[in-house]
Amino acid sequence: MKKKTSFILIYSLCHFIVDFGCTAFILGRLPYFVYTDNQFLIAMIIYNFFAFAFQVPLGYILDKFKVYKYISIIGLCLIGLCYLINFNAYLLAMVVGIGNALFHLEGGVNIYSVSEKKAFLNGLFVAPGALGIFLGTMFYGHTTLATFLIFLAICLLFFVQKQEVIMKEDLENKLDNSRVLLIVIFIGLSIIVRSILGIKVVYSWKNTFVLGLIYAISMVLGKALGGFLADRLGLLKVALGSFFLSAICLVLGYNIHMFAYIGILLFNMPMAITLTILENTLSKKIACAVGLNTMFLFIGFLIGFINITINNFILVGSVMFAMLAFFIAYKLYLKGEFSNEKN
Amino acid sequence: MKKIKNVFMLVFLFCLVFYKTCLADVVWIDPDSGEFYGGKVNNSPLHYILIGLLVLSIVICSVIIIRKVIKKKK
Repeated sequence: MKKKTSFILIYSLCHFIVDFGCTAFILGRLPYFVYTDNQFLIAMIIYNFFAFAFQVPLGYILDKFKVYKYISIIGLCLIGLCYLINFNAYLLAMVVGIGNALFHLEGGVNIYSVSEKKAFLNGLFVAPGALGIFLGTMFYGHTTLATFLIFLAICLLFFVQKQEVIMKEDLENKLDNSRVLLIVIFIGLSIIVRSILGIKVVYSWKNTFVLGLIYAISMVLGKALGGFLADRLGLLKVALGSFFLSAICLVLGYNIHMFAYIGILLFNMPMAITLTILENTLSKKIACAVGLNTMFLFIGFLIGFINITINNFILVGSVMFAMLAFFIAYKLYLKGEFSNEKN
Repeated sequence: MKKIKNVFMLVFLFCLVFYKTCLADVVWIDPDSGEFYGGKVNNSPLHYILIGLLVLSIVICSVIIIRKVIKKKK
């Protein structure tokens, strides 16, 4: 039990460090190597592509060779190297992105290996990332601190690698390929909608450090709480309930801060749930499942670039669409006869 | 292999302690003014040791992974 707790804590802490380090790199160090805003934008897209979308082919390779250990150390070493060397901006963005992807893949797989198909541990693992990104955005100037933390994370990961990761063979489900594909598509749609809204819903009042920090903490709590509640109340109830309530709260949040905090907390609750469903569905290709989750986030990120304003009507409509997509995916998912599932 | 890993962990810890003091103000941006200080990354010996360590770690981890893959294939 103690081992499992330290295992999860270390991965969660390292997740915070990786996201902090990568954000601080993009904002604090990459500007050294680019000359125009356009170049910076391209470098940022390259980073996001390799950090998110590239996880799918990388995950496929890991699943094929069934190697999940030491990958994250390589990832962190790559990020650390980018802090220490001067090179082409695009190449640096690519290497940092790959480093980020490698950590997330190993972390996702290893956490899943001890989670026993539950969502809580997934929630604990993904939650600190939001705080890392927020603090990275705020303190991007402190790149030495970021490098220091990356070295710390490497030490911690060396420690964690000593523990044996056992992938349970009995996690195989009874879903056929077409059903798996449909689940992935529908879960993907709900993730894409969440990703777009996450970029597009911007509160103008959230312009101070303290308000931004509370907002980020709400996201962290939402992700962790989502997994926790889903294990107790059921995946469907928590996901649909949180989607529905978040739509109301996010709309009210434009005028009343408290509702925005509650809204963003609720809005992030399905994250651990969708990740768990993807992992349980693709139980033989866990790294691919982790990669797909982030690839859908990347698709949402790209769509988020389109210049459309999200009014209250579109916001509520999008959330309803995400709810419907999740509902269909969940009904298909249940056919896999997942033993610990509460309906 | 375990011994190598332990040594590596200790060396990284050592670097960790000295990194802050030796390279603290190498690359630093004033959060208020947004100005860069320090210019290019420092060329101190520790800086190159750190780069070497990171590269060596990548190599060692890659060797471990490749060995595992070969073992599994056999």
